[in-house]
Amino acid sequence: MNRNEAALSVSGLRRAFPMGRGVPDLVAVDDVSFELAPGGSLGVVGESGSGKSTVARMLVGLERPDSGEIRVAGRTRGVRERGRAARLRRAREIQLVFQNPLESLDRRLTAAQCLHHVLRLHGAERAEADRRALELLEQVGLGAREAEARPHRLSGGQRQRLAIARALAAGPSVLVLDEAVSALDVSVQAQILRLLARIREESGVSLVFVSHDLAVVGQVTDEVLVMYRGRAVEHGPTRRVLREPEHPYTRMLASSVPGPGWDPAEVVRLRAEFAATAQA
Amino acid sequence: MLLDIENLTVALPGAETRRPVLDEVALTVEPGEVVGLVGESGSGKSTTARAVLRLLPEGASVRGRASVGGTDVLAASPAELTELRSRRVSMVFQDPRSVLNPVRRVGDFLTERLILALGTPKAEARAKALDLMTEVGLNRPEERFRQYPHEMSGGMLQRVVLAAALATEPELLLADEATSALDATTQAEVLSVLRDLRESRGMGVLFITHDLHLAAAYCHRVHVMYAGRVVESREASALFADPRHPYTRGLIACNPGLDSDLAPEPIPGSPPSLSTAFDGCPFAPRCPEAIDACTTWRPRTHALPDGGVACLRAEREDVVTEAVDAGTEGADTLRRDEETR
Repeated sequence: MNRNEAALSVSGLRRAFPMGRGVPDLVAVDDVSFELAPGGSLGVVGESGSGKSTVARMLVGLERPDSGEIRVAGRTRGVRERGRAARLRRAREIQLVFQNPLESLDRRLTAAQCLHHVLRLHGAERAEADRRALELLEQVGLGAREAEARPHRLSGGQRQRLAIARALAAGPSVLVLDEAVSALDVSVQAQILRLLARIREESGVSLVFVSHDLAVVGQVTDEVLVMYRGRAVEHGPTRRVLREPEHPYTRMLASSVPGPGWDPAEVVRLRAEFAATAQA
Repeated sequence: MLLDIENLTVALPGAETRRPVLDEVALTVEPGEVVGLVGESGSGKSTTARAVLRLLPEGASVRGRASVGGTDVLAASPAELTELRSRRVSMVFQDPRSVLNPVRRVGDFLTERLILALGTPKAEARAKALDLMTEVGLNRPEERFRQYPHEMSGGMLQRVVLAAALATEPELLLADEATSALDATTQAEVLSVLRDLRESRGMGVLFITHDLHLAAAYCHRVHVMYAGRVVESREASALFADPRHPYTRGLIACNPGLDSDLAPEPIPGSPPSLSTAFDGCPFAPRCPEAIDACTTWRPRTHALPDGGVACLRAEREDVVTEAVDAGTEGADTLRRDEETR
């Protein structure tokens, strides 16, 4: 891989959903572009319906873009890959971690089996897969007892650790996290955020962090993309965007995060102001 | 005093249960006041709210006292209890869709309680419901009155639920993570509406949330719960300026906020289940500041000018400070004693 080459490069991404006869299409994602450096961390923020999850789903291939291009390490991701080898290579490019691990983990497999399965699929020998599974469990902070447990015996935080380990098992260059810590208690959330920062440092994996929670995004990303009704309305260094937002929509989002001196009425005022500019 | 909970202890039946789900909980809400109740999952905050309506699991053993506007909830007669649940106290939960019947119109939901609990004539109930919908910020109320829940967004539905909760003009509102599932901007809008309504009606609110930042920013006073106990009770503004319990400090460090450059610092370990009993302070096993004595110290609340804290070290610090202020002989010894721990 070229040193200067972006780990992930997205240009002109668009996705519209047909809404039925006589109703205009819903444009969920409209002309979204961004680049992510190797080992970088990008936040995608916005409210419900902003299109942020559709971006995440298109990145991993769960949703097909109408137009635009997604490149991983310079290589264009095909719409449909033919053959086992191509599909596995595609899986190794980008992996996804969902909000609710209980729905995405196989309830019949123990943590160790779950990882073993993915490792074998990606070509590891049996003994190698066993060794690597233990390494991954250790990397995400799960011990021998959790290794032999099935998902329903694990706590919410442990399940999310397992989901992250499973995503890492494929050896991806990009990890997409869609509201991955939103359902967790704050202390567990902080544990997972710290884990992700460490993994990024150790393995050089790039993170795309999709979340409605600005405080969380502020803690784990270098850059942030703010989405509103399918479009990227602001894009820049996270700290600058969250503290000195330029777009009125970002200003409103930032003002909605509670902190000392917070006034919900101020958010209502900024929303009215934003609605006025959006119409003009 | 509108809501007064004193030494409330609730134990659930079950072979694996080794400690009470609520342990000597004490809190108060004055008319017109918003009081926050903060803690992680399993800390007992929802059980506390349910106890106010005596909605406790069968077989639960209850000690202590809970009263709403002078009515002793735990000793209330069936008639008093019905009155309390149907009219005087309302409760709003996190997910409006779990409360609304998907095959009934929103208007039916809003008028049901008025007609059934208060015997309001139908036309009057409808007029009142429309007024309430306007009050909680729902535009085109006539149209929405005829809609079904699936035709509205989560934020709209939570406003409907709030309108229904206010319909009987309750003295007390129990809001259990009522805005947690909403987008942050929608949350702010709903809370702004709720603040105006509370002020104009003099209604008290017990505001339950896992978000300490939100509680501190929105409430007058905040109680922090851990393992079924209130560990710190403070004026909201003091929570960030001078948190006294290590658990409160830990919660703040987990989420340093938008303006901070600090990385999130997790609290080690996880909250205890009901099968774990404690001889001393329940937070001691996770506490970075714990000393040996904490593991045998039975928690008690140490009074602060604006509330209280249940921490041995906070209590000792204050004893030392007082002794030094009073110039008591032996203060130096006390201080040395504290510092060497």
